[in-house]
Amino acid sequence: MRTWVPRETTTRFYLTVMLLLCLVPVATTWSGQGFYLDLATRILILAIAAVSLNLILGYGGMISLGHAAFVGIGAYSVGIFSYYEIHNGLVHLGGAVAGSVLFALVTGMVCLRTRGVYFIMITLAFAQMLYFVFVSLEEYGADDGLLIYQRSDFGALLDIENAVVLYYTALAVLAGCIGLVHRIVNARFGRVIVGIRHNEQRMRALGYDTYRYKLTCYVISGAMAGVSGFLLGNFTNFISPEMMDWTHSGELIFMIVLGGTGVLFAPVTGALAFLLLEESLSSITVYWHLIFGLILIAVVLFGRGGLHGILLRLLSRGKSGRC
Amino acid sequence: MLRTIGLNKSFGGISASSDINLEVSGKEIRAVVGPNGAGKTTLIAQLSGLLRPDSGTIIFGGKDVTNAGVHSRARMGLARSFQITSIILPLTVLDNVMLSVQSVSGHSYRFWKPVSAEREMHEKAMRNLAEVGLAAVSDRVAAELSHGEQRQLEIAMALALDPRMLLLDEPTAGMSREESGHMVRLLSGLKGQTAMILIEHDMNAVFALADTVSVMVDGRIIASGTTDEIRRDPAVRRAYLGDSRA
Ligand SMILES: Nc1ncnc2c1ncn2[C@@H]1O[C@H](COP(=O)(O)OP(=O)(O)O)[C@@H](O)[C@H]1O
Ligand SMILES: [Mg+2]
Repeated sequence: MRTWVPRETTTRFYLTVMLLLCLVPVATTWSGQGFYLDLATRILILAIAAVSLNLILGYGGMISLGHAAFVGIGAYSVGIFSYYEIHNGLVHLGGAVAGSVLFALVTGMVCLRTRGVYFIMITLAFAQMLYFVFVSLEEYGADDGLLIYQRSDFGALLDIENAVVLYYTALAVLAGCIGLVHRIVNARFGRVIVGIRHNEQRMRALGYDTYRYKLTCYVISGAMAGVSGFLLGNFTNFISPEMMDWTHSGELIFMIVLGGTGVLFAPVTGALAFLLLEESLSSITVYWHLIFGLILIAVVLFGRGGLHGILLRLLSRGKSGRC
Repeated sequence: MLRTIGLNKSFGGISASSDINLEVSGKEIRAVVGPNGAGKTTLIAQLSGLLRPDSGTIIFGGKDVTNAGVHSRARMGLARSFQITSIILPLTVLDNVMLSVQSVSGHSYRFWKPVSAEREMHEKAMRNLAEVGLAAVSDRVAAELSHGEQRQLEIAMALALDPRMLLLDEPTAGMSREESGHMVRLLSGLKGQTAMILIEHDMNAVFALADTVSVMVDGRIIASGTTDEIRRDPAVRRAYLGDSRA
């Protein structure tokens, strides 16, 4: 029989992971391995995007293959404002959120009329449309993109030109997003979203206008992904349409599946595993894509519930071994 | 309470509803009986808003709801159960009913306060569960319940909406004799509380519960009346009761 592992136990594990993430800059500064700080920053930023996708995909069952579009919008907000020599961080951030909310609203109104494989295809189509729009914008570098010479300016208090400050900013945003998703899914709104995922017809028969709830959820998720794009633009100092490519949307889905779909912290462990694996494999062999793909397939097929599922099994085995 | 005027609905060549004029008033319990394929489920689907009629009008609580969506009709007090049980299987019994209670206690665009802190909703849900006799299994996952209990849960979810009218599509379908006896007792306890349209094959249950009966055959209502009138009606005996006893 299935052994039950208390929620507190896994939460404690994930909080330990978060705590270890707090120590990364200390370790990299001490050892002088700046490269690893960069890698860790990238992991955090993509984890934010994955957390936002987990809200609609994991909890709401809306499998979007266009989530990278929001990340791109957030990054372009930094790039375009900087291009016009507007460096105010609040403007950049505001643009990132407003742009992704608008895109989520307009595309969501269409996508959410459909479901299943049609939903996947239409989110993909909208994201690719946006990709080609930016490819055609010569002013902003077309498919070469734009360099960002100065990061978003938040005054002296938050100097994100400093790599360590940017790292902790990303970590704080990630923690904030996880906290927000936690509140949302345990509040009335989140209950409705989860109900819709499992039985939309029943939820409508209970009096819920399911379309509106899904649209609201989609917009919240898009805004969150926009913020991650804002950080990504600042981090890479560079934007290009390639950021919106559907392969990146697919990677975000993989991070979630790897971590454990619909688990609060899973996007973090998923992003960690995904990027560390990618990094280590690509340094070993040029055929790393093949091995990477095989590992991902193995986790999906055999590691039911992703890393979270594996964690649960390890914990329950440890317990039954003791008694 | 509910009135339909000349409802028509056909699927390809099959006329599933033709010229349905139905009137259910006050707290009446109306049974709709008829052989399989008569169009009973299709009628419920149009009343609840899942299907649009090809023509005709549906009036509920004095309002024309012919074009209203499923969710707005539910909000107006039209609750239903499905012929194939429709509950939220991975959630607990209590959480299923909580979703109903939540639907009628203010809006659900609340993003911060945990539902677990909403004591009144919790208490109301537990009362609804007690009403159908499921209070003892409130913590179980709905998928683990027996078929009979799942159908009871679906009734509890409908009742938690404080409906003005219940649409029940074969509530005893697939139940054991004991389970359906329990369901009939449960439903008779609701008499006088809310109006009901009840689709049911078991004529004993129909005569025990219903005030009035409509008989459907091939998309038409061939007779309507009190249970006694229907029991005596020769056309009904020939078309329907006759076969079921043969
Ligand atoms: N979605 C549908 N598409 C095509 N035909 C349908 C559909 N739903 C019902 N029908 C047909 O309409 C008729 C009435 O079906 P239904 O309302 O389910 O009958 P009942 O509930 O009385 O058994 C049947 O002939 C059935 O095959
Ligand atoms: Mg039927």
